[in-house]
Amino acid sequence: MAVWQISLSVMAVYMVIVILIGVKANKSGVGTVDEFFLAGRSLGPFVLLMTYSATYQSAFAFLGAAGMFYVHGASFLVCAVWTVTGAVLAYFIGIRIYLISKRYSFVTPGEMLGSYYGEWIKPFFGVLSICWITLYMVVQLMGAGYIFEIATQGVIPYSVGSIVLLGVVILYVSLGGFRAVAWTDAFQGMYMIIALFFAAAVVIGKVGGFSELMIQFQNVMPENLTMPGGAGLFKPGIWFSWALMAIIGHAICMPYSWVRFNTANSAKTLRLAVLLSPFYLTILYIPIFIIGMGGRILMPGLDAPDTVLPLMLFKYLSPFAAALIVTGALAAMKSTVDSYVHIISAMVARDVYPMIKRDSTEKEQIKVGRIVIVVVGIVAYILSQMKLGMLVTVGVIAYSGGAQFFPALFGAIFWKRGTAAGAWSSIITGIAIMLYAKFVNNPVPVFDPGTLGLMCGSIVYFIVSMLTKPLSQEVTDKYHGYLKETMHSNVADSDSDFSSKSGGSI
Amino acid sequence: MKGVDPNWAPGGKYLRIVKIIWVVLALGMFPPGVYLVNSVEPIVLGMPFIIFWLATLVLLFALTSLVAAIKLQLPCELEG
Repeated sequence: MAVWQISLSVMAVYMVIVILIGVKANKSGVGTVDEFFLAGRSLGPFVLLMTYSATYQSAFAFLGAAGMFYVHGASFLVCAVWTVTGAVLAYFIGIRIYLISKRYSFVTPGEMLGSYYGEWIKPFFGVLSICWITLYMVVQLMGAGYIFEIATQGVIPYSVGSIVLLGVVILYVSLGGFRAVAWTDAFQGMYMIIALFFAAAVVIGKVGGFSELMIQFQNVMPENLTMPGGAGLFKPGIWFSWALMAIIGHAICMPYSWVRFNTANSAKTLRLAVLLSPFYLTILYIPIFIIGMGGRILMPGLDAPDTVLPLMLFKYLSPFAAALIVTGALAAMKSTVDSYVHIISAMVARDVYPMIKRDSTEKEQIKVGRIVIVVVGIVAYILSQMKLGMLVTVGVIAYSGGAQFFPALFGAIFWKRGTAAGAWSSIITGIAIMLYAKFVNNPVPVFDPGTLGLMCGSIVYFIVSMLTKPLSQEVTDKYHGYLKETMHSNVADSDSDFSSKSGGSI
Repeated sequence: MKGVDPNWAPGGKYLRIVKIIWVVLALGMFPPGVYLVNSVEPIVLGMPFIIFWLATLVLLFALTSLVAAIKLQLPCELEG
């Protein structure tokens, strides 16, 4: 068999498996909004851990991060920092989102903010988030295009590879809703970590051990073993900015992360899943680091650094083994694209469509959600054919946009003096400044545009909130009062003196 | 109803210790912490010190979160 035939066979088997998982999920029930968009709020710790972590990782990690280590060396270790710290912060915020969403039956982030700040923030959040997510989805489709092209030696070109991945995802998400997403993520999350460790073992074997890898790297590019890296990108401000944007945007505010907090079957499940994710993600980044750094030694001078992993595999391994591992990269992409497709359909169906048709039924919302899945897929595919830039760079723009909603979220769960005017003005200011700094002129180049937007948005949120009329007691009690009550009530049972000391936060 | 262990509940002393550890580790991973050790020369376990430093902090952070995942208790968890 030719190499491309072997690769294609392995990938085809893999795709059939995920479609079958989608069919199985469909049989488990997708008839209600809660079932289709949140898997009936029934996920256990393992599946939630895997779907949260696998969505967090993507083409960004499998191809993009390896490419970044290839170009920037150890200075890109910022990615390991944001994965661990982001997940822990996500827990402290996520538990509050979970409690409020469960109490008031919210499905999407827009519904939670809309109920607090006024309903028009719901479609506003939805439409803007769709822009960021679509952009990030493009990154995944670009990665899929690269993978198919390399694995099949050009028989399946970039343009066809992207659409094959998209087609499979659309099929199983529209069949099984979030349950299909979560189950396939669990499968894909396991698959990709095993594949990455095999790939890293190959690289280590070829280079001659980890110490030898460091010695050779020291000889070839010593500047890439220190900050800010040979290209000088990761100066302190940018290190801080990228980490902050990933933590705030990617791990919390991007709707695909946010909605996962709502799918846990209990607060304990959420705690286990999210707080265990740093452990999983730390383990995941060890092989990525080795692959990227080793790639620079084994295959220097690549024009597209994002392709270093598949290129090395097909050079040093048998076609079958290489195809098995590269399919892990497809798993990483699928586990992310499916979540994006799903959350976009949820936001249109729940945040935007009900504003157009006020008396829409759950059945209609699910139908709209399914149509949106296809439409968004087509738009993302068209954008992916434009090859917007390096995977990680496009990804950072996307979740920087998501991060601009953080001040509004913060107010809804931590600061009851925040007002609707403050929320609107902070989001608009943050996004406007981010786009201006990104595409026109960054007045404070020490920071990334997203961080600059978030800083300005936060200040504006505070000032405008202080200058405008506070939200009514009834509204703030819905969130702040409820959180205070649920997060501290039973502590008093075990230690009556303790609750008075606990201070109201975790 | 049996309550949660106050030491691991919001405001509890063990949880406070964990949070302090998280903050200290994060300070070492973010600027200026990470840049202060950038110029340290020694090779540790075959890797430049900055890589060893970050790898150690990230690992400790992950281990601490593992402990929190197992031990942390919230009152709302008792309500199912």
